[in-house]
Amino acid sequence: MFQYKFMIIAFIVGALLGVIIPLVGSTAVYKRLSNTGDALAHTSLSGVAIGLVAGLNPLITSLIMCLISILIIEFIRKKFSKYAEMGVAVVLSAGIGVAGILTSYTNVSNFDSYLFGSILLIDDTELYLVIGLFVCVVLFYVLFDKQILATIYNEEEAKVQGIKVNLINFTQSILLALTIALSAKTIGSLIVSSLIVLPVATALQLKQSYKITMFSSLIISLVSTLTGITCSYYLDIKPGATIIIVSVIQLLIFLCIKPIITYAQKRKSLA
Amino acid sequence: MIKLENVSFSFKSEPILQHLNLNVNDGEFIGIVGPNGAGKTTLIKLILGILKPTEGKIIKTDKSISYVSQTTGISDTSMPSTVQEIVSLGLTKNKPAIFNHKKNNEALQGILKETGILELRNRLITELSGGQLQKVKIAKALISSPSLIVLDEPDAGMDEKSHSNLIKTINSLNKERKITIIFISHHMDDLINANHIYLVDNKSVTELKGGENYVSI
Repeated sequence: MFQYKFMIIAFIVGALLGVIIPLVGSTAVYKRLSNTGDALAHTSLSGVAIGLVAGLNPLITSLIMCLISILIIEFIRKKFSKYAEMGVAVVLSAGIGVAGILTSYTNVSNFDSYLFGSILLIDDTELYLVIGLFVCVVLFYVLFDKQILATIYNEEEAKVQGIKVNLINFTQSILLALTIALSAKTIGSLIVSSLIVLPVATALQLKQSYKITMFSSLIISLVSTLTGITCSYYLDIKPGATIIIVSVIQLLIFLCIKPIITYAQKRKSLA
Repeated sequence: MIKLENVSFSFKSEPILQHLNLNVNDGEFIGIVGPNGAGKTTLIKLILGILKPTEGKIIKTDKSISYVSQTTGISDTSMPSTVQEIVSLGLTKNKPAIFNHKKNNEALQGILKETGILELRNRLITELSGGQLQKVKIAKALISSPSLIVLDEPDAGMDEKSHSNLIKTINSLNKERKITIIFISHHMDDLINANHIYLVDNKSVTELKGGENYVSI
């Protein structure tokens, strides 16, 4: 399998995205805004459609649309905090609408590659962009993990402590938007939002601390991404879709063994 | 010391609080009472700097302030975090925490012992009772050794025993550690030791004097 350069690149990109997608997605999950990923994925599609129709680089237009969308979501979240999910729904609907209309004017096969991704057709520019994004995301989450947790836990208490809550939220949102836009071409727009939620949902079954849950979700995501790419190579099926099916199977396995984990934890605490 | 000078606050042109004048001296225990929706939380958010006054000015000399907000937020019921992870957040500022990890760990162990939750340190906050969760919030507020603690109805949803323990803790923080306390409560009984009790109602703040009572609505 590794005699092909495209497979080596696919593995590298898969591993890097496998680590950073649950990192940037976990915040949205804990804030009960999991649909943010969905909304951004759909607006990334509208960005791709704009790029294809206008003859521009779809990756760039997709990045711009994701950034605009996350700013709109954050604006609505701040202005109408009780209806934070409304912003997500508005952006998601608008994204589907724009993408739907513009696909009438594009080459359908080109557009399809963004729905389910084409991790085996990644060019050097995309590889370098993913590496750059990986470095930024990992550095941010390692250096500012306490500030991020404090902001998720209670924004107002964090503000009183002097934490720059708006800056932390803004940086997280930008990194989420960039990750989704870059993942649209590689993993696929319809699939990336699942990869935000599924590894975190699986790790939550372990009922562990924030750090262990975060680390576990990265391992789970990494395993599903690399297993998915390997299976897709040998079975000749779409890599993005295979990654998600592996993630769902992982979640089902964890749900099945959850009673055993809970029993073991209870015995440990009694001992 | 905190001084509010002719402070007003409006939301979407609707006045919420008008022309407030208030002094809080170092080491005082201030009680704030008032009906629901009168603007008690708005008042403390102005004091804390979370909200900006539309008129007037607020002078604060306290450098280290802790805030204990109302319980049962989303995070308390769904975050996968342990007690020690949450308490240690009280020490978090803008610098990356890895630079003073050892010092923070010593402070953490000390405050967990002091507040009687050392044995709960590895428990998830989602598994705690209302009283235990409140101790966690108090420990988080205390770990940074603040000179002022602002508590917004921290007793909401607590049973009688936990409530009584919380009031004892707040009183001892003020008396023994000389921490300035601003405490929003619906129960006048909780404020027996307060130096001043202010009633927030009809967009203004008035001091209740000489055993005046306030019936919670």
